[in-house]
Amino acid sequence: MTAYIIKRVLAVIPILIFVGVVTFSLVHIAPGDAANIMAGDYAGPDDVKLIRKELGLDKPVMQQFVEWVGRTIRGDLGSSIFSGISVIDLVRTRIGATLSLTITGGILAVLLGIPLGVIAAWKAGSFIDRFVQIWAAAGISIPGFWLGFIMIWAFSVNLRWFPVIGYVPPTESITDWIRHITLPTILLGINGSAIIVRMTRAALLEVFREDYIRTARSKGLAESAILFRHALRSGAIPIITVIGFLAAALITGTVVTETVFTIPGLGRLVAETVQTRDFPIVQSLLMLLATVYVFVNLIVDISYVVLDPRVRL
Amino acid sequence: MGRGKPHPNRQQLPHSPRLLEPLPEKPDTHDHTQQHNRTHMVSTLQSDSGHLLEVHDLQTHFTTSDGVVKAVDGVSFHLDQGEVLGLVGESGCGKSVSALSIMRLIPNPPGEIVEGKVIFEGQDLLKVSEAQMRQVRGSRISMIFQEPMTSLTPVLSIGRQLRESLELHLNMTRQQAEGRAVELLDMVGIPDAARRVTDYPHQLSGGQRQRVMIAIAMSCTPKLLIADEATTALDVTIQAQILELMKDLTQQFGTAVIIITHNLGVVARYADRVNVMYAGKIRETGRADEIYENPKHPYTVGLLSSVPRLDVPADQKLEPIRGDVPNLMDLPEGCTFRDRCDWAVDRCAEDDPPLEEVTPGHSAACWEKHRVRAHAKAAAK
Repeated sequence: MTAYIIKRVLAVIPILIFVGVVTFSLVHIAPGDAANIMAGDYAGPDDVKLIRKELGLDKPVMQQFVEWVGRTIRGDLGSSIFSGISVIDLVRTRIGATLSLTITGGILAVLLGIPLGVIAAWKAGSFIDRFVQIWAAAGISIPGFWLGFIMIWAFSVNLRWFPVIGYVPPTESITDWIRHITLPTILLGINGSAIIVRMTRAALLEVFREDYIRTARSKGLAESAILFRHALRSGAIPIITVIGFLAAALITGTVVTETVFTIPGLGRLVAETVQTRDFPIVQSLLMLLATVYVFVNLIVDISYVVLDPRVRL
Repeated sequence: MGRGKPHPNRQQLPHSPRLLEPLPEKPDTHDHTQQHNRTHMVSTLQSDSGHLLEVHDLQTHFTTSDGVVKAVDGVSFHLDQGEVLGLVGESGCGKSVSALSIMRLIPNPPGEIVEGKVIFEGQDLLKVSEAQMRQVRGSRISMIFQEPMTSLTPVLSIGRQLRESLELHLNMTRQQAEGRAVELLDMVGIPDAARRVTDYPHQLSGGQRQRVMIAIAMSCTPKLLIADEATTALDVTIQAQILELMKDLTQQFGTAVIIITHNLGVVARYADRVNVMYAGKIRETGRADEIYENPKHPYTVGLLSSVPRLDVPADQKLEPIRGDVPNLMDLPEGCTFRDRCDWAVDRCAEDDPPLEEVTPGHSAACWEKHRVRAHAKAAAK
């Protein structure tokens, strides 16, 4: 068991190196650079060259990469090309909003997704199952930005239940915090719950066909004991796995959600800085988000051991 | 278990008082209908001959998109306390469905028990509530399945799965059940039971898992054990061990057994009586030695002559039954076996022969049953 966990933890290192290479390459493969944008529409090629030299963009790509890696390892994540604000400061001011959204959205997705999936599987083919399936299909296929605007239009503009834009940290006012994050949380929760519903339902339906469920019935166990003790634990691995994917869905979801609800979080920061080719920030943010994702999935991997004795090899 | 053992046929009355008593209810809910039902129950008890289990005209159908499959089509048989009954036939003949119907474990949909009675200890199991049925399952009737590799829940320790039955049916505390679980594992021959009790199913071999299944099945000293192809998936040497273990334990506990198998050798060795099933119906029934020595249904003859035997010269060819099991969705008129039968006559195409007595205790459903003989197929022509 310990050997398995150590193996998993060590496996994170090559993954992060790979993520670093990909992140750096993507930013440099993308057309256009900060120098072009900074110079503006009327600048001549010489102006652009000058700016590029100032930013260090004229050096060979390999050299830029090595320098970037060196700085990152030393903890210097760089600063914005445009404003000069350090990435660490930017992240510090914006991470609260993003954490609020992803954590509440994730919890809502799990709290909706698992019970709905369980009910759908248990009552497969029934009216409830149909309803849950439609819910899941809608949650997956309806674009977040569209649903977000509909929600703003209905609940903020017409009903005036919630503010239209912005974010207030909980340290300032708990009630305002709740009012600001309710709609974005629901938006993230609906989208996230859809994949969990589908996986839970599919995993349980598969488990219900297993011989050991028949054995459990033949022992005279009540349906609830069969469902929670035998079926749900056996089907837990695919469900937990999809919760790992949910972390990715939530991270990408915040980009859209924070943009729609004009919330100053990391997601919107990614969107803005990608548009302006502000690489130091884009690179560091992508690295940060990827690291979070890798570690969430590390936790998922380790939870397998706890849930399924067969993994303890 | 084992032939020649006298069955305590008539000793069974009065029945174990446990099931006769109405299940826990508030006293004020005892209205007249329930009183009536109870008197009725007692009267059936007294009127019957004291069989442990009586199955009457059981019909279990499966509805599929292509039509209705009559998997069990009017099966009747009985079983006495401590008796061992073999249920034999090819795959798809309805043996397993019959067993699952007795336990009321037919998945619905698509399956449904449409007709019949399953009278166990004087009570029609098809009429009791699901909650009452759960008190019978695993406690009065238990079952062992074919696939030991997949019949135990992979994420729970074997001790946990044993304890579950003990806590549920015998109201043991966790500590009592833990102790008993080790004793049960020891009883079924798992070495070092005290340590193995925390093992998970994947840490055990197929034979050991089937031993655990037997421990679970016998944990509440059931009156009836249904072994559905319980040894088919095991190595031959392990098969014998498991069968002997089942025999020892069921004899010790006075448990009646229904052995479902397609292995006639198993039946010959362990069963007192045999029901031969074909296409959802019992086609021949009788004492195991009688069926083996003097089969009266062509299908039984076919089953016997498709098995290698030591008492027949080795150069004599095996004679498999020709053709396939008919489509249960579209059974022909008349006898369902006639297309594969060497004795078939014109009448077989029109009327389905009923199960009729040949000699006392031995019945066959065949118009030509008096002509049918084992190892005499050529003579039939």
